[in-house]
Amino acid sequence: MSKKSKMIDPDLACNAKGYAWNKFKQSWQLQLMLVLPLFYIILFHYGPMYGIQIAWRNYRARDGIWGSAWVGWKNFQDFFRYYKWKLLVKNTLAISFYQLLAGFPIPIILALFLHVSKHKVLVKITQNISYIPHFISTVVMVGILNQVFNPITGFYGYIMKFLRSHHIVKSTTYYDIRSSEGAFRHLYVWSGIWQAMGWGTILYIAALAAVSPELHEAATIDGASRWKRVLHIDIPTILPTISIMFILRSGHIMSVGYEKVYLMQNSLNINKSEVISTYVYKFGLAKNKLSYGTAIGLMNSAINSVMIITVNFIANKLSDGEAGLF
Amino acid sequence: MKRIVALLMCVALMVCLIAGCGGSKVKKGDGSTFKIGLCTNALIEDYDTNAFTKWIEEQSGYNVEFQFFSTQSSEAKSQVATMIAAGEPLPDIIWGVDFGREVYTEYGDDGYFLDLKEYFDDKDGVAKAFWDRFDILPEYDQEKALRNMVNPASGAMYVLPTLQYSEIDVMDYMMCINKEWLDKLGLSMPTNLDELYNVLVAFRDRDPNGNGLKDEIPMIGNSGLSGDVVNYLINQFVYYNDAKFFNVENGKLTTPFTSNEYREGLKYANKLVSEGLLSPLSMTTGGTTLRGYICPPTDASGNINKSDMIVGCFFGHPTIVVEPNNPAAYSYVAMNYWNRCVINDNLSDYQVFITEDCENPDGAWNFLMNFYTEEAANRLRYGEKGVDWDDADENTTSFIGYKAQIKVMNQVLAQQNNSIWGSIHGTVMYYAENEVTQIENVSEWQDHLNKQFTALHDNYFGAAEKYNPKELLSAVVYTTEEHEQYDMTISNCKAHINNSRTSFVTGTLNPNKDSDWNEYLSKLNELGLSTWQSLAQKAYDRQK
Repeated sequence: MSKKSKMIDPDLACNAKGYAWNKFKQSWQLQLMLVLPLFYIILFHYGPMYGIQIAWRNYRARDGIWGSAWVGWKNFQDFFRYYKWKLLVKNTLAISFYQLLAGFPIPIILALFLHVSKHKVLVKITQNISYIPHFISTVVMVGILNQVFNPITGFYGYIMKFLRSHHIVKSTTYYDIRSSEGAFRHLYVWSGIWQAMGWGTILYIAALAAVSPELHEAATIDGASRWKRVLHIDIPTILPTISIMFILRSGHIMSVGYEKVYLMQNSLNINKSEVISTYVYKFGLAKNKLSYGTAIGLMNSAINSVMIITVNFIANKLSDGEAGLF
Repeated sequence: MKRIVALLMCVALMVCLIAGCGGSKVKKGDGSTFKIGLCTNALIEDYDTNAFTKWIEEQSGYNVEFQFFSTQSSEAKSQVATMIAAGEPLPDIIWGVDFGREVYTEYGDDGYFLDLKEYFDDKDGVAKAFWDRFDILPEYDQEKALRNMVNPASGAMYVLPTLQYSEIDVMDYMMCINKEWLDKLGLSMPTNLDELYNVLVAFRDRDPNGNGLKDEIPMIGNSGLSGDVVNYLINQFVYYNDAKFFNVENGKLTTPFTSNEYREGLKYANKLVSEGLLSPLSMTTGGTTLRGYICPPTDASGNINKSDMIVGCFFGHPTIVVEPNNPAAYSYVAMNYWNRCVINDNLSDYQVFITEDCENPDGAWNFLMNFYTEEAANRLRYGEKGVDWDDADENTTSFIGYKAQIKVMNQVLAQQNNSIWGSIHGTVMYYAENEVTQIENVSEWQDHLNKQFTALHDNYFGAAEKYNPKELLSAVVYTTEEHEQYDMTISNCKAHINNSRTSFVTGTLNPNKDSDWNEYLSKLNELGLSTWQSLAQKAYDRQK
């Protein structure tokens, strides 16, 4: 099907330039709709990019972006003068990879489950319930975590109290999960998965809906079980979607959103919870060192770009140019 | 001869009177208008018809116009930065935007904010109102304010300070102990560190709440106001103010955080944590969360189950960490202080400026001088006189037993209102609310709390007087150049000290092991402690 639609009209093929122009003329109403988004991207995303130069300047309000003094690589070097910069990078990458590896497959699995299930009412209920956490703001989310895991007055605290009073648990100390270094990453990642997994299924469910029923019918006649059909029909169909999503996600490897980490931080788990973005917030923005913050942000973006290009390259290699994003 | 002397004295007296009279009153304004840029507060209905606006206009003889910045100070900061970057004219006066020292010094050096040194220097003339009000502050606070007001590099003064003084807010730790448990176990109130240890062990082992479970928390602090239990323990061994880091002895800065006494304090805290006497929750629990630990939930008739009480002794501001009207409060009484008591800094800020776009800076200064009176301070804090508050009745006292100065009839701060500007800037406030407000119709519960409060306050300052070093470090202010060059070194050192302190207390590092302790010290030296110390010494000496 898709090959056929890509066939080129022989009348137009003689002149590639003319072909493109004619194509454009045919669908100019559609192209017109692109103007607004294009304008938006130029105005708000490409336009402000000239400000990146303050990463190499010592920004002062009086002198403005163009007039501030050049300082070379000082702002970048300053980051490596922070005595815990290695820890920052390590924590950022650890959280990021953990989040990617644990969080990426789960919406796919859930989407497959929902797709396979025959009980349509149950599916709708499950979908709705699993979407709800997506609408909770980060602040409220961390508030809920703090409440639930409070070792004395929280849900966890009440369970422990019950266990203690029935002499099932001997320990008498109030162990605080929220301030445990070892638990921080798990708490961060799994609460994130709980919050995002329902919403994450939407795209895959849509992709699964596009699977042609004929394929399933044919496979059923040939005696394929439901599991085999998932393995050989459903997954291969959504594989391009999965690959694109994976490439996009890998472009965020250096950026762990600062709000949630910052809110979950405390003096006891700081060795695991200080990441680049919280550091930039504390030392760049809060202290008004805009140049310094920009330099670190730019560094992150550069690494992210390299990641996205690498992953895209690998995906192209593995799939003969089918699964890549570009 | 005598007559001439008498005559001369009369003349002198009259001259003094006239001068005094003329000087203490701020010159009446000429009706010109000033535009004030301020951070809005969502609780204020209308700044133009506001009671304080009306009062200050009438009092000063000037008119006021507003330019509103965001409710968020950080947002307001970038609004001003944007205006400056775009070359837009600034309002005549910026009132209450927290730029931070580095930024406002930059704006001042660049000429956006006026240097007010000339005005400040005219102590008996245009600045008399300010200096008269300034004089009521204790010497230590005056020194700190002066150091903060002056730009150390050039001597310029860009800012009109907001100086608040309170004896409650400066207490670093307030501690209360469960008297009922003490009585039940037949123990007496601890009067030194060893006795405190024994009491805590008894709380842990002898089931004072009688529910048959070892669920007691012998001691807990909080991360909010007056809850720093670790600093309390360290100060049993050496004076250490964790906001200042340095101590000062004969004009020389010393480093308590490298001393053996400091290590002893960490060892002691570490011992308490490892034996389950001090809860590590102290370092992460906020004041209001601590409420839930101290006060068990009440039933329908407002009673609690005493066997649910788990806290033996707590650190924190009693009105914050105790749930209002919870009967658990009756069990706790104020504990003694028997050693050094850290005096924290008062809530002062430096956020009022006259800008270069002001056409009549003399008038703006004169207008702002009207804020430096007791009445202006009270009106900014408590609202309209005669409506929201009034002078206190004769012979009444406040919570901590001081002579009451005002009686509050209608709380306006943090309420929807149209009588204040929502924040307090550019004035001198003396004493916090509970130190000056007349008390009437106090409930039994409140009375109990007030008594503990008074005891805590009196003991604290008694002990501070007796055990604290005579010389205290007020403030160390760096120049912009020093700041730019050494900020990374200084913040590295500070972060290392604070992180290591937590690690030593919770047991990630062991203060009893020489290798851990030496590594802490050598890392500190590696990060540039000596650079920081000599820089701070230089800054401290500069503004003697």
